[in-house]
Amino acid sequence: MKGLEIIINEQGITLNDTIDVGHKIACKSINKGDKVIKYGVAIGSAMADIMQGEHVHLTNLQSDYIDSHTRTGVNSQSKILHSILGKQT
Amino acid sequence: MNAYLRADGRKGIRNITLVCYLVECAHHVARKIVDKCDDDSVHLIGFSGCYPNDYALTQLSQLIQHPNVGAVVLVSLGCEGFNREALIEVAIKAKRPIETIVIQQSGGTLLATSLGIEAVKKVQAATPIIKVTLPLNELVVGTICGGSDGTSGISANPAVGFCFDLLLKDNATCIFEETGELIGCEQIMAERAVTVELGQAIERAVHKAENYYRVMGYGSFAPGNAEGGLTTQEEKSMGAYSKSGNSPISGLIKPGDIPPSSGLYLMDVVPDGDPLFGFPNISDNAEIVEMIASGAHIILFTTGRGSVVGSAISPVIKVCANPETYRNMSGDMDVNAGKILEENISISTVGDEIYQQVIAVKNGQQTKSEQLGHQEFILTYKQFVPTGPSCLPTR
Repeated sequence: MKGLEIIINEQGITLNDTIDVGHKIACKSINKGDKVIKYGVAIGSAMADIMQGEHVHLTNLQSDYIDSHTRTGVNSQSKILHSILGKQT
Repeated sequence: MNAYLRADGRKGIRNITLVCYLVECAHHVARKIVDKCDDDSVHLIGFSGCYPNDYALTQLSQLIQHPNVGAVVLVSLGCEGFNREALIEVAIKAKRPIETIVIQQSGGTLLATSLGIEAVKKVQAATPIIKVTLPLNELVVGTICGGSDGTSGISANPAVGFCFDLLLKDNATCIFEETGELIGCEQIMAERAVTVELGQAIERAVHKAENYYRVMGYGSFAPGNAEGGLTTQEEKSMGAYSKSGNSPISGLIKPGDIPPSSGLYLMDVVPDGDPLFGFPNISDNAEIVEMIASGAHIILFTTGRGSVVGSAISPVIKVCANPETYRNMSGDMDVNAGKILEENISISTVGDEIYQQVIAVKNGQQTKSEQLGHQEFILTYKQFVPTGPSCLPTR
């Protein structure tokens, strides 16, 4: 819940976003290019500096193996849809 | 005594009659036969392609002699490339009653359909029913995750892993799979292999998957995974990996290989050679079919976003990771692992509940997807080279 105060590593943090079930936040600040660690292993690299308590997701974390795709974003079918609908891409 | 002893010595937990079409052109007639039989134990499977394919022949050969299958009716158009004679030979060798309907020799749709219905009755009548007990050391259980989200890897998946460890203590056979969803876990997985050579084979299999998916342009990662909080392939992989539990990995099999002894097996579902026929597995049921072809009596299916699927041939037990999804779709779920997150219930408690469900379903209890009539099935083109000796345990 946005504005909620939580404790991470004995430090109080106010959430800037509402975090849905299953999503994740940084338990410490992460520099751009650093590995992001979950389950004790790297799950990718930070694409931007990430503050402690910030939502970690597609805008600031990328795979070191293969890009993730969404219905409308990177690697999506939006280009072909635009051509079907006669829109400019 | 709830299991069925087959004439080839294998034991099944269901007594299914298969109606199997051998090309898409025969699909409608096969479906009509199944619909008109109006019998939940008559299941529809098949292969849509007209071109022959060794992988598809292997899968159907293993499926028609699966221990849960009592008898088979093949539905052929007549001119397709599928080697139906080979399938008939397999069924005869495995002592499964089999009848073949060739539509072009039967006078078309209506006559082939009524001949098919008679054929189902005939093979069912010819199926011997010998009830026995299936001990856990002869049980084969597979696991898959579908519609994963950020809760899958912290509730349902490790609970299934706990259940796998319990089953393996009973000397059951357990299969986990999808090397493309284990990208990033290859080193820790290799360390669990019973031999160094097997560990190396596991690492090679995951690298093959990574290369294959890169050529396809998409990882094994659906938009819903991201909506559910998962960000990268390796994050999804680590969550999926926890389904395998903590036991040593005994072998690396390919779809349709029957594990030679009890233990934990990784199934390499990604085709060998250059990418040729498209995506390795176009949907969850493609992977379920492959584990059933390798003898799985039961499938443990974990989901966060909420899958509804079942399968032809073997029952699917659905374990829901996300408590919100469970509330929304409880009619499709057999186990609520979301309570690990909301009610402070331990992974081992839910793992034990899954284990008890496996035993109940083995003894005949219907899963939710069985009650709802789910009998999904899909089989596509693939190519594999045979499994190497370093991948399998010596007896």
